[in-house]
This record gives sequence, structure tokens and C-alpha cells, in this order.
Amino acid sequence: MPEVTIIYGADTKTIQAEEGALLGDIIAQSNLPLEQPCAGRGTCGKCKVLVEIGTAPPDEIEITNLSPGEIALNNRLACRARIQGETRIVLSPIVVYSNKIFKGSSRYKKDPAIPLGLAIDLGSTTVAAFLTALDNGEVAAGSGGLNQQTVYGSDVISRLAAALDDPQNKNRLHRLALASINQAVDSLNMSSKTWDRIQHVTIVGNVAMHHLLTEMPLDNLAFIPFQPHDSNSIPDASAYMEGIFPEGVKVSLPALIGGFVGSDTLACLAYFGFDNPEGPMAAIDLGTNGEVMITDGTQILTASTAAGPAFEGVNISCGSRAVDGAITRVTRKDEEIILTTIADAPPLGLTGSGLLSAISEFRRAGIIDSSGRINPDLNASDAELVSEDKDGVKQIQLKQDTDLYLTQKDIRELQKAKGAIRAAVDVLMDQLELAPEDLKRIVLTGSFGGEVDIDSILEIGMIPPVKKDIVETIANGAGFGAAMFLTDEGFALGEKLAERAIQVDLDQDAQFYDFYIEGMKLAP
Amino acid sequence: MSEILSEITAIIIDGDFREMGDKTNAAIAEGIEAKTILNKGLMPGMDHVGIEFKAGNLFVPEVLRSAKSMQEAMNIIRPILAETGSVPAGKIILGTVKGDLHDIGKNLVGMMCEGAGFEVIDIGKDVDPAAFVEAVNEHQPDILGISALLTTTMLSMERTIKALVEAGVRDSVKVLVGGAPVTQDFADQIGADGYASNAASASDLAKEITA
Repeated sequence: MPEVTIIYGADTKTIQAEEGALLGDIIAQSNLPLEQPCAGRGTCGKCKVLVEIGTAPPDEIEITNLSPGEIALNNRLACRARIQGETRIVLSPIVVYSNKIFKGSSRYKKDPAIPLGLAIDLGSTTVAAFLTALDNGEVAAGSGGLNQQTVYGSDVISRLAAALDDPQNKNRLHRLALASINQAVDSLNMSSKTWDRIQHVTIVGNVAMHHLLTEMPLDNLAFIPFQPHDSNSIPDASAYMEGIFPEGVKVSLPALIGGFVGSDTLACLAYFGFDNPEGPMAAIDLGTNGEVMITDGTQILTASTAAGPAFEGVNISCGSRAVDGAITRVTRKDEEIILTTIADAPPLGLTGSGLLSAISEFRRAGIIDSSGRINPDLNASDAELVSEDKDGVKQIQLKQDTDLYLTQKDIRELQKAKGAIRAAVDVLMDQLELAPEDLKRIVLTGSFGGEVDIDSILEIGMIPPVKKDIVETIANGAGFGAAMFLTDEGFALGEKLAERAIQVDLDQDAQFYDFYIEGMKLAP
Repeated sequence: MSEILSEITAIIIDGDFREMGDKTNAAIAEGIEAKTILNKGLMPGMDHVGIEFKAGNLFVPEVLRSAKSMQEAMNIIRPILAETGSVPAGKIILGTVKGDLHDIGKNLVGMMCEGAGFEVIDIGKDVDPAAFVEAVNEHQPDILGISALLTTTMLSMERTIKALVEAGVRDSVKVLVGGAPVTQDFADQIGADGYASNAASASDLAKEITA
């Protein structure tokens, strides 16, 4: 009987199987997670797996339901594929976001002569694809899904560790990156006629994403000096794509900046106009990693800071990813707490935005003090909100008769994340000798930053004290910048910015420590 | 006498480090022994800070102010303690492993341990396994504390312990490990003697091990 090896991140199971057995049945025996909601009809694609060796050739139904890119990568539907000989497969979470990330002009549909391009933002958590008209650079639509590499950990360092641990893992992470790109492109639902018009693809990402995609040596990045192996742009990167894009489509990887600051930040610099700003400006890409960009009008400084996963609602006692029922906003009117949830569903837990909103609202009410402590001297009605959990940790109840609490430790998690961002901003401002009032514009972008509440950000001091009207949020900064890089002119701008932008090593800055400690307080 | 000691304890808890110098000198002027100031004034304060830190009621900036208050007092009483031949609770060497530049957590551990009466020797960050061995040979500590903040660099912990074994000094010292990605399982797996998830627990563990 052939041996079937199933790999799910660090978990590996080996099972003896009959020749011709259904792959999905064998995976079910392994107790590793696999969804098969369409019960083997081959239509839902949730049971997609990456085959490394083995299995019989795909049947008609599989071929119809897999994209050419997926077939190139040897993605298979576990509900259809049959065991043939020794088999080794990789499982990963397939999550496609149901809503489009961005909807723009449909002009490209009316004029089939317009050439098209795809801009890919290969994020550590979300991989997004943006369909772009190449004649005028207009982004027509954006869509995305979860980065399947999360099976090796939600943070990039864990993924680097897995790749360093085993060269096979390194190759798996490379293929999972490509599978995630496939998934993101697939979620755009392009017709084959639209596909035929795709001429150029650009892929941006942080340095870890870039190096895992291209299977570059990781030693310099995972250890001191924490620098890329090679930061140059790769104008023709088709050799790394394993055939997921049709022949003749040009694939380019823009340059990296340095440290952990990658081409996604370069794309932000381009999209926000750092090449020609009106005056001193700052931009912050807020996600699991925070990238800070500041210019005094001439010099451009960048830095990456590990904000941790608090902004994604991870490591929070009542944390939640952005699913239906996730709390995105907490407001308090006449001592009553109002929770705003996604799809108005019953509240499940706090997203990063919900966490920030809850903390700034309770801070405003004096229930939390500026050190972040839940105030021990509250008036009687506020004190009713506060209790202790089984470990003696204080907590504030978000809604009566529910298990939804904001704990003292949750507040500390946000303070650490917020302190890291603020310290990075302060270090760069200090090096450029800028005061808060010198800034003419601040842009917040990224999965968290693109939709964050600006009042809350200012009140807890995540950014320096500035007038609210100079702060704006822009979703998809990296994706839109990647779209700019699809033209020769845009790509050249990227090259120029990469040369100009300097990466600052926060670890080496003597003041970072003091700024970080100071930055933890919850006050402007 | 007890009044001024509880005032010193309160200064530690509130982190009013600017008031500590005067208060410590006043205590000495009252004829209170340096050892008593440490044991009955400073240590109960840091103890309280440790408990509140573990519950999340106090946070890093507050603990640092408390530790700074402790330092202010120690600067005055340390020479007196040395003169009178007072023995510390134990000796601890601390360092962050090779390849890793993070040290806020390690510094907090050092402060909490000092607050618990230990002599703490901090050998810094990006420390080579050979440098850990050398420090153990030179200082003959009771405890070696190794810190790592990254999943990639925590593997250097194992290399450091191996280097101690190879140098024949592994059994002369208790090895404690900590840092964001480190777990009890990992500590067991690499043959460490203990693990703590935060600075206050680390000092509790150090006390337990040397008791």
C-alpha cells in the first residue's frame, strides 16, 4: 500500500492508503483540517491542496474547477484526486474574502483594446490582487484572500524559522506564496478574455515575503544584521513563478529598501508622492509589522517596527479577526455601551479597530488612566463594569450578560504595539530634526491603518500631536503603488525612490528605548 | 524607624525616584542599617511591584520608574553593604543570545532580580555561546539567565547550553530561559532548568531555585 504524507505546517502525518483511494478520505483519517462543503462535486475549491509527489492525473471536473495557475502549481482538489503511488501533499487554510477590497472603474470592460496588468500586494496576512488598466494606470478592481503561509505561523519570523529549519519547508513556503497569489487573482473572477489582456504583473511585499517567494538565502534576514540578501529589483521574475501566469506575461518584483522594509513600503512611497511632497510628511503602514516613512521634503527615512498582532485582534482575550459579528467600534452614550459589529451580527469579539476604539472610549471616560491602568477609584456605576477574571486580572465588561471583556492585559498589548509605532515615528522625526507642527500631511494605510479612527489614534498618541485635518487614511496604499509600477515610467520611479529612501535600524538607535517607553502611555 | 521604611517602600511603588536619595540618607541618619533598608524598605516595595506587574496593573514604564528608585537607594547603600560584608541572595548573569539585539525584557528581569536582593551581572546582547561560558567561569554565578526575542534566534539558546556542557560548567549553574517565543516545553526540550514568562515570575523563580 502506498504511503501518504500530509503536511500541515509543523504537523506531519503519514497514512497507509489503498491505490485509487480518494485523497480527501485519507486526509480525513489524519484528523488534519480540511473543509469539503460541496461534498465532492469539485465546485467550491475549499479542499484545494498542493501535491508534491503522487496522485493520479486530474479528471475533467478537477481540470474545469482549477485555474491554469493552480494546475501549473499542482494544486488539486482533495475531494476528486485519487492516490497513485507514494504521495506527499501540503494542506493550507484557503480563505477568500467574500467582498471585493476595491471597486473602481469598469471602463476596461467597454474597450477591449485597453491592455491590463495585475498588481499584487503579497502581505503577511492578506494577499491582494488589483486589476489595472495600463493605458492610464487606473485600478479597476481589487480582491484578495488569506496568505496560506499562515499555516507556518502568523508572524514572518516564525515562517523564516520554519524555512531555515528545513529546505523542504522553504520550498513549501515558496509554493504557498504562489498558491496565495493564485487565490487572490482568482478572486477577481476574470473571464478568459480579460486574462488574455494581462501583459504585466508586479508583486510587492515586505522583505520576508519577497525572500520566501524567491527562495533567497535567509540567514542575513533572520539574524544580525537583519538585512535582505539582495535588495535589487527583479524586472523579469518569471523564473520564480512556476508557470502560474501565462507565457508572455511579464512579472516584475520592484526593489526592496532594506532591513525588513520591502517593496510594499516602496509602493506606498510612490503612491503617496514621497518623490515630490508639498513639505515634510509621514506615512505609516499599520498591520502586524508597522512601517514608518517620513520625509523632511528632501531626505526619505523608513523603518520597520514589530507592532505585534494586537492590531489584527490577535493575542487579545476577546480578539477576533474581521468576520461577521466582530466588533469594530465601541461607543458610550449616557453610560450605555454601544457595540458596532460587522454585518450587525451578534458581537463575537474585538477586531484591532474595535480594541482601539474600546480603549480610547474608556480612556475618555476616565475608566482607564493615561498609564493604561484600569482606574481603581471609579464612581459606583462605572465600577460595576469592572471585575476580576480567575487569575485576578482586572477586566471591563463590554456588554451585559455576555462574556465579552476588555482585560488589563489586552490594554497592555495595545500599549506595546502603539509604543513601538510611536517610537519609530519619534526616532525618524528626531533624525530629520522635525517637530510635529512641521508635518504637512500624515497618511495611515495598511489593513488596520486604512480604516482606523483618526480621533482615537490622536487621543492615545499613536502618532505625534498634530491637527486632525492633516491626517488621512488611505486603504490599499501598497497595492495602488504596485499598480503604478506596472508601467515603465512607474517602475523607474520605484527604482529612483529605492535609491533615495534610507532604512533606519531602530535597534541601533540609542534613543529608541526611551521613545518606546515614553510611547506606551495613552495620551497625546 | 518603621515609618521611614514604609515611606521608602511607598517611593518604590509610586516610582518617585527623585525623592529616594534624600529619604535613604535620612534613614541612614536615623541609624537604620543598610541591610534593613534593603530588606524591609526596598524589597517589599519591589515585591509589590512584581505582583502588580504580573496582574497587569503596573506596566513597563511604571516598573522602570520603580527600578530607577531602587537604583537611587542602592547607589547609596551598596558601598555600605559591601563594607559590612552583607551577602546578596545570589549571583545572576544575564544576556541576550547571539544574533539578537532585543534587551528590554532582559533588562526588566535584571531590575526585578536586583529588587529581590540578587547581585546581577548583565553581559549585554548578541552574546556568543563562548562569551556566556567565559562569564560563567569568571563570575561563578548561581544562575545564568538567557533571553531571546525571535523564533529564529531562540535556537541559539540550545547552542549556548551545549557550549556550557562542552566546557564542563553546565552543572555549576542553573540555566533559566525567557523571551516572547520561548515556552516551558521549549525550555525542557533544550535542557534548561527553568522558564519564566515575565520579569516578575523570573525573579520569583530565581528566589525559588536559590532558596
